[in-house]
Amino acid sequence: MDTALDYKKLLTDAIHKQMIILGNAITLTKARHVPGLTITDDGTVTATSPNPQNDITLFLEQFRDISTPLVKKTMQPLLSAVTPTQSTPQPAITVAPAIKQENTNQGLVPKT
Amino acid sequence: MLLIISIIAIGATIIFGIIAIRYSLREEKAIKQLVDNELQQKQRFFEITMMKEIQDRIGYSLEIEKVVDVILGSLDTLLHYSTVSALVLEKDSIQLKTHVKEGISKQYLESVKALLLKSYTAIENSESPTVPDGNISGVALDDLNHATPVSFFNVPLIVNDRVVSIINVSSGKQNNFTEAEMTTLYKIATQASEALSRLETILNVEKGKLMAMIGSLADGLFMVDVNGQLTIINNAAKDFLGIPNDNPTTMDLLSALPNSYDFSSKIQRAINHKRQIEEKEVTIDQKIFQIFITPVFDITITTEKKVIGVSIMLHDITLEKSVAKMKEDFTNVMVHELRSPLTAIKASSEMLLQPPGPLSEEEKNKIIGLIAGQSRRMLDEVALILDAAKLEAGLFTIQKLPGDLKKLIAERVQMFQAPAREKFINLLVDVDPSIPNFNFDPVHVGQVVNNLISNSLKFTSSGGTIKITAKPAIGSIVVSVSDTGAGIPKEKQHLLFTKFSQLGGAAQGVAGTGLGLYIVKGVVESHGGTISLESEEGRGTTITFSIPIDGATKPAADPHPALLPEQPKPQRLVN
Repeated sequence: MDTALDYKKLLTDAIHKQMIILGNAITLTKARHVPGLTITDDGTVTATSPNPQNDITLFLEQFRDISTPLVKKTMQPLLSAVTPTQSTPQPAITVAPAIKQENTNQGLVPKT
Repeated sequence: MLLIISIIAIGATIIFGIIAIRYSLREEKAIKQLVDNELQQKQRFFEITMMKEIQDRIGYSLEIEKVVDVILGSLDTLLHYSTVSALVLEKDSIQLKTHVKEGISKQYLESVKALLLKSYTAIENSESPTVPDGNISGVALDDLNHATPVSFFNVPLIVNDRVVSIINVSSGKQNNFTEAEMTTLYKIATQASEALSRLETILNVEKGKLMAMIGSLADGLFMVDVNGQLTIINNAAKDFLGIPNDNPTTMDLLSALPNSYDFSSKIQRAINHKRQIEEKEVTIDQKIFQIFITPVFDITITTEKKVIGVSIMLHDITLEKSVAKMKEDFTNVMVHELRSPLTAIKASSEMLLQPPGPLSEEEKNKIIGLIAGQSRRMLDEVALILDAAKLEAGLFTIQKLPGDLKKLIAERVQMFQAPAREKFINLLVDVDPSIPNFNFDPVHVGQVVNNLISNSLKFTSSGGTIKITAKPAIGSIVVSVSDTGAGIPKEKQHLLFTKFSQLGGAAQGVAGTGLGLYIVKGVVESHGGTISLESEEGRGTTITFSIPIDGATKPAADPHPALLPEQPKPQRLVN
């Protein structure tokens, strides 16, 4: 994901889809609980925080409260956006790679 | 003074006022907290009550409609709404149910339906399904009410990644639902979805086990529901009925069953009378079956026996039937085999007791010789029967002694040279001289070789060839007897080593008890060996047996191999 614009579009698309699936009121209410987002009444995201990945994580958390399977089924673009990319290989003598990877991504890995 | 008093009074009033306001605000806050707590308690209580009811209602069945009914029926206690509708998607059906709380128009209901279908297509990324209007309960519709569902929310129920229902709660009033109310319903839906997913997983595992068990049955088994739809069929049933299709239909099944067997009416009878129907003998594709049609009852209903289908079991009794026939044939053969020598003995002994005239010494000896010969024949037959009985009872024993199999084969072949010559049959022998002496039962192995050559002679026509081969293999000696005789039809080959099997020998005018090859197999297996058959109708038969080398010693003919100039070639006798 390169620009803030892409993140906004990604979030806007997700909100529009959830407005159809769940309805406007609950979607906007849940989305507006994410502090970094500014959302118009038609569901367009006009601003994100300086850390849009974190906004997406918090956004997903909000909708997981509604339904985890629904998030899994309908928010793949957002889930992909926060799925950690392959970590760079670590020197074997420092920390075991699996543990290092887990620690690095703490707070960004979607709950399963 | 008055001024001071006034200032004090005003000050006191202000202080008391401030205190009163502070107390009032604190009280208001406390009341609000109390109301919030009460609301939370109410929502929590609603959640627990709903979940308990859902658990009670679903029990061990996956009827989504029941879960939806619970949610729809209990919604009044949680919130105020105009309509609640549910799209219920079960295996092969889709339906819409609506409960109307406030008199809204038909147009309003159409809007709700459209909202539900849009939600479904957005989740599943699919085309909008066709849904009938479904059933509507609650208050009467009022087409004069022009309200539209301005407030609404949809609650999807997802079971194992599959949308099974979407509930829509709507109202004609703006901002009718609070976040807390909506969240409560989502929580209930989530818990219900999880419970249903767990239950479905368990049921699928159990169904898998049951299917594996049914699939592994040797008997054919299939189930038909009350509407005549085929629900389960195992591989054995498909094989028996010759259904190649992986997912056969009732039509495939009906066309595979014989026309004379009125299957549909028998199923109906089992359902109507709620009892098992047994068909003792039904012939399907040259096989004979016992068929059991058993009604299957719904175990979730304990008050009455509700039939939900029938299971049909096909038990193949072809082998039992042919064994019964073989036994019957055997009795006839034995009677014949024993009666012939007995008749000869009786006639001969009567001739000795009451001769029609004076008998010379030579004539007397001839008659006694005849009696002795017939008695031996009878004793051989009886010995065969005894061996067969011992084999069946697991009491058959062999006596292994160090011996020379090459010599034994040569002796037995020698015995058959004369009859082979009489029938103009070539008798070839190819015995590897490197076969060592080893431990085996010479009497019974001799009987095996005898029997195999004798059978080949019986079934090989003039000009044919019989070949006896013996050679060492890893840890055993392999002997085979092959002929260019009539051969054995494929469908009868499995019966060759069974008791009483004549495989049409009697029809070809060849006598015998049919016990010979049964005993041959028993003798070979008692040595720890194996026996096999290769045969093609019209081209001949080869029977091969192996006997493990036990306590092998070097062949007597090979005491100093280093001194021998070269290995002797296999012995070949051509008759």
